[in-house]
Amino acid sequence: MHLRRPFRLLRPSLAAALLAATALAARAAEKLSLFAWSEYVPARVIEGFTRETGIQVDYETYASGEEMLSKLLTGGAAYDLVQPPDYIAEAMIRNKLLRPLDAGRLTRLDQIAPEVRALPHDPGMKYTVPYMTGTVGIVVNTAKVKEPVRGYRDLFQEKYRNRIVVVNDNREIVSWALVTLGLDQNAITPANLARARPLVAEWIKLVKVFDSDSPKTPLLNGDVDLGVVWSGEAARLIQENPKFTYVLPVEGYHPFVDVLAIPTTARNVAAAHRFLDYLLRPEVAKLVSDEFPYTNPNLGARRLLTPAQRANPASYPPMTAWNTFRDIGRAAADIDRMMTDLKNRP
Amino acid sequence: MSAAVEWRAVRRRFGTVTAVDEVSLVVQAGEFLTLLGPSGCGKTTLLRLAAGFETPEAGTIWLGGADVTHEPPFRRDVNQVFQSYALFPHLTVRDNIAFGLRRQGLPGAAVTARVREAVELVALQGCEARWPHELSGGQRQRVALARALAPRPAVLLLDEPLSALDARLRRTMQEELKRLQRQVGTTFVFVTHDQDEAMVLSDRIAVLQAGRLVQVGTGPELYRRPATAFVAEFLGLTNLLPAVRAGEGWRIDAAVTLASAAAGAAAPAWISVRPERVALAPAPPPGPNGFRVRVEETVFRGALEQLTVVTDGGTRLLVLRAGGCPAQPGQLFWAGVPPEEVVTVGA
Amino acid sequence: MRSGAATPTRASGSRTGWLLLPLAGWLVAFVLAPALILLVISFATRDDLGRVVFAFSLENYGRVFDPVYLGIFARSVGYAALTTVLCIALAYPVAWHIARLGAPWRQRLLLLVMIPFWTSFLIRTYAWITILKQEGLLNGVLRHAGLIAAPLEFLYTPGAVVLGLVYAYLPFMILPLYASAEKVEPSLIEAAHDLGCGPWRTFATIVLPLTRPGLAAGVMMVFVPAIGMFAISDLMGGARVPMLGNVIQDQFVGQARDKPFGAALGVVFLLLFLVSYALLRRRAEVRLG
Repeated sequence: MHLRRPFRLLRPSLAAALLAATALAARAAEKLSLFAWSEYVPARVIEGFTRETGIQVDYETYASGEEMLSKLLTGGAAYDLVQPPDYIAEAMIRNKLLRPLDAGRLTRLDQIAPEVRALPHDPGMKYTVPYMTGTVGIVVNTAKVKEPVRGYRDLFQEKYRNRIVVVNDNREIVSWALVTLGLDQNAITPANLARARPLVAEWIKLVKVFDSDSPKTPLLNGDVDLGVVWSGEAARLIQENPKFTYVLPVEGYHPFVDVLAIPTTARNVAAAHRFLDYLLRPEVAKLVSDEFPYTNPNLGARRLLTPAQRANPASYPPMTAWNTFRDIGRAAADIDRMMTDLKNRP
Repeated sequence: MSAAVEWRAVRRRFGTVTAVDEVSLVVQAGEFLTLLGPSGCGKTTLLRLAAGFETPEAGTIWLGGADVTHEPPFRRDVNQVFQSYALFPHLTVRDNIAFGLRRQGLPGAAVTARVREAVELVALQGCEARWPHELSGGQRQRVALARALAPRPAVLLLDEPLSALDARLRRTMQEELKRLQRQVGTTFVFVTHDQDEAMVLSDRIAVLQAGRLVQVGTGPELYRRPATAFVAEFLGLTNLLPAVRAGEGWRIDAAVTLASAAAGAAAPAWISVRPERVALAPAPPPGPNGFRVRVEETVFRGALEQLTVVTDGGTRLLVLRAGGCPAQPGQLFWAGVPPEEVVTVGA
Repeated sequence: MRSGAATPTRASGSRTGWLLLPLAGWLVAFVLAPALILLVISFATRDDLGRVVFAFSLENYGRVFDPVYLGIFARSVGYAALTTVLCIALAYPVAWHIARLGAPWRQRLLLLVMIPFWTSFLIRTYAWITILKQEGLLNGVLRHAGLIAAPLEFLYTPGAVVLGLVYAYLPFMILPLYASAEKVEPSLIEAAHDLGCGPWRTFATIVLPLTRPGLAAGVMMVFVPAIGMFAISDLMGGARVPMLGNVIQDQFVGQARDKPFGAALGVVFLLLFLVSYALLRRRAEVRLG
């Protein structure tokens, strides 16, 4: 569902360089096949792992959790590690596509923040290890917008028509309307969709740009002044210019967790565990935060961050609820259809 | 007669090459005029200037008494027959011929009638529905002619239209062209590098050399009285001899001095004697200009015999005579040239 | 006259048959097989994970003809048609003049036409974003020139989408047109002028018919891909209105997880394309007799 591609614009050739680098020395060495979001695993992490273990990492990328799932199910290639978002991990566990983790080989699981350990997609982290977590919230360019914007109702107003960017993610948009109406964001029923529909219709007329790849770009370029974006993107904006602010909408919000997991079809299960264990080291997990300022679930890593990193309101917002997205199965198509219809109306 | 086409002091350069250099020339209405010269002499450029495909750097172009120097081709009452024919490959013979007529805004029936007329004129009946690529070279030539003539232009420009045809077809087409021109009465300006063709077809010939107009006249005029050595050599065979004034005559070498009928200029560099005007006899000729020659070489040329003879002074001469009993190398003759055939030419 | 060509001698027939084998293999592997797979999937259903379940269903085709998707289809075709027309208008003079130049200049200019292909398409699109954005180059220049007081909205408009499409596909129109234009004898143009045609009429009666093969190829290479293009409408149009490409992409690797429906959209798109191509061909043949 998430078409989240963190910072792809900033580092367009990283994956290619990596592939070339790994291909050079890959001949006889042991290999780990990693299938992850494009531009989401820092090169320094992969290089450090290879330097330490001698295991070459093949980093194959995708642009959406659905794309990952689709390729995994087609069975064209065997991957040792995949990186699904929470709700896709849930579907994969239910359909027995993931292999239970060998907790004995993961020596630093205690570094994971307690609130992330018992989420409904994988209570107790039997199949997955959280990689990064984040939220979807509201970014405002305070140089241009003087009134406070606390939630969706403040944001989606006629006066902001054509000044808004939102992630190009239909389920996200629908979930905002559902929580605004006091409904369960995971109850995608025809009745709930029918209730959300007028609100969504009204909102998307006000939006100038739908962009999941790099929603910060139109904000930085001055093409829009407000946005509902991934927290990591917002954190980057705030780093670049403090005129940007980030808030979690008062109507409600949801966190997301991107996890790492081992598919049942994995060939090198041992190497996969080694990589997971390596990533659990605070000093390694910190490298991820340096490049992708989402919320780091690794407590040890958080302690290593600079005060500025820790104080970034987008990376570490005041979170109270941990109601993540759940797998909604075929109802995703209903959302898609409704949104296609709404967007298609002039 | 009035002027159909006139170039007035026209100049056209391409880069550093002056293709047409200060050329002034008038083509009379109804005339068949040929622009003759070797390749690169500027004859095609002159034609294209008249058609409007080129614009002169200096000078003016006049058609039917009007200055058209800056008129585009489609506003000039001339049509051209292209060397490559330039038939429209996506149109049938009929549509090719009708092309110019349609632009004139003629009603459909009139177009049909004029096409039929043009088809008959070039004897292409039965080919109207065919495509250009289905035609022979000669047929394409006729279509090109018909297409250019159908709109009844004041002047027809022909750019080496026969050069792509084989010798026999070429002769046939030459006759047809001549007949056609008489029939329609249109002014024809014809470009060729072939002096035979020019002679056969033209009322007048304009000889060009390196972008300059050298001489204009009828075929016989140019042949008998070439103004320059270039014209003399370009039109037919000739003996071009360096000569110096010696009393009333021209000294060719130590043994031969020729009298000329032309009022001689002070110091021409050359005289021209056509090979067929040199008579060979066993005895000295009665008039002036008799001298002794020895046969060096003979070439059999069908109706004619071509001989190379040498004077006592060592000058080589080409002689053409009706083939009778062939001469032998080494044989001695008396040569005779009538004074009116000794032509003085400029360099 | 076709019968003659259709009955070659036995020897030459079998020889050419061998030569055609790689082509036939290519067609089967990369054209026929994928199209068949698409066709089969389009009649199937799916499970919760988005896996294709082979249970015969016509439901997908029912949805294709839903007004929502027909509207998207119409809009995609509209954008593609406008793009094609603009490409033709821009490419004709360019291709024609390149074809009339001397060999060295011709090669240099053709190279210039192709140089954009050396860079990633996405990077070139981002370059346009830098030009068109509110604080971008174009607005900066206009403001400095005193032509506008406040920045204009260029990016994230339908105009930006069309600009992006024209920019992306223009070379695909120029190159085939050039190939055709190069074959047109200059004397044919002179003949047309000579017979009374001004520039426009010469274009309509001579240039257009003689470059029709290049034009047809160009239209195929611009119009068809432009219908399915989604990256440009996403990046330069702000993804505000869905295009056919977006919808199909969504079904396969996006949120909808509905490959059978995506396949049905693809099949209908393919059929529409084939039918219009066949009609075009028929018209062309009728015209040529």
